[in-house]
Amino acid sequence: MNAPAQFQYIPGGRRPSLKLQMDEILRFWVEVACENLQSSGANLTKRQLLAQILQQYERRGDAMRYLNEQGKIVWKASPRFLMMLADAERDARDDLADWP
Amino acid sequence: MTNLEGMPSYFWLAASRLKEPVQDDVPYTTQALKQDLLRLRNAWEECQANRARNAIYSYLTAVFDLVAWWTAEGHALERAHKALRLHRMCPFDDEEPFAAVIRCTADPAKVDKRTRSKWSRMLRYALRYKSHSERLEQFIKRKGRINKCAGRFARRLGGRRSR
Repeated sequence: MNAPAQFQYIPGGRRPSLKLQMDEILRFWVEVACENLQSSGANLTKRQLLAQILQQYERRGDAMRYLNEQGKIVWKASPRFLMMLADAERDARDDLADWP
Repeated sequence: MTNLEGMPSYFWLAASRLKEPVQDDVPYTTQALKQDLLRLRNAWEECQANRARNAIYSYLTAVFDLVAWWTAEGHALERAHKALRLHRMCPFDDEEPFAAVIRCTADPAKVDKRTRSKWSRMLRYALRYKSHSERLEQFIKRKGRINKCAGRFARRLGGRRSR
């Protein structure tokens, strides 16, 4: 099966980078999960942990990949995840308002 | 020690997963592909519920972004055809990734073969000529909107293939 030219491998599009790049929101949650796993004794490097967490997030539909402005594949929180966070924030605000 | 059990679902990560083999690059699983397709179908539903003229761009951008990073990894055709198979659809001969992804995420009653082909040509044109920093909607409008971009693709790239 031959892919049309524009769908073939783009040189430089995917080189194993030392850092898994992600947006600020996703990074926050992934870092927190990473710290908790580290404190619970997970015997993996930080990069390995981040990779596993991202894989889980992507499988659940909470994280997604895209090409950034430099054409590199990076990660961001999915619309579903952002909506879930917004709901959680709204619930927390409502709870706080109900606090005597 | 932090109590993971008490944390919200989006926070919690099963410890058993850590026993799985670890790879340097994050593998793109079938489940992740299904989630991406679900996100595109949601984008389709949302744009259909929105009566604004430009609403379709949010769906087309979601399709474009997904196929663009698949392309950067060199797996666009294979993943698009896998997406079709996940929906029990057979890939057509020479069905390229944008058309395949549109076929399995948009309502076929509303997006016929001709429209799918037009959108696909427009997206291929954008994939070839749009800079990464420009938004798809902005690029398409700057180039004369969807029909003109599809025409530009046919003239610039489509013709080359038939020669």
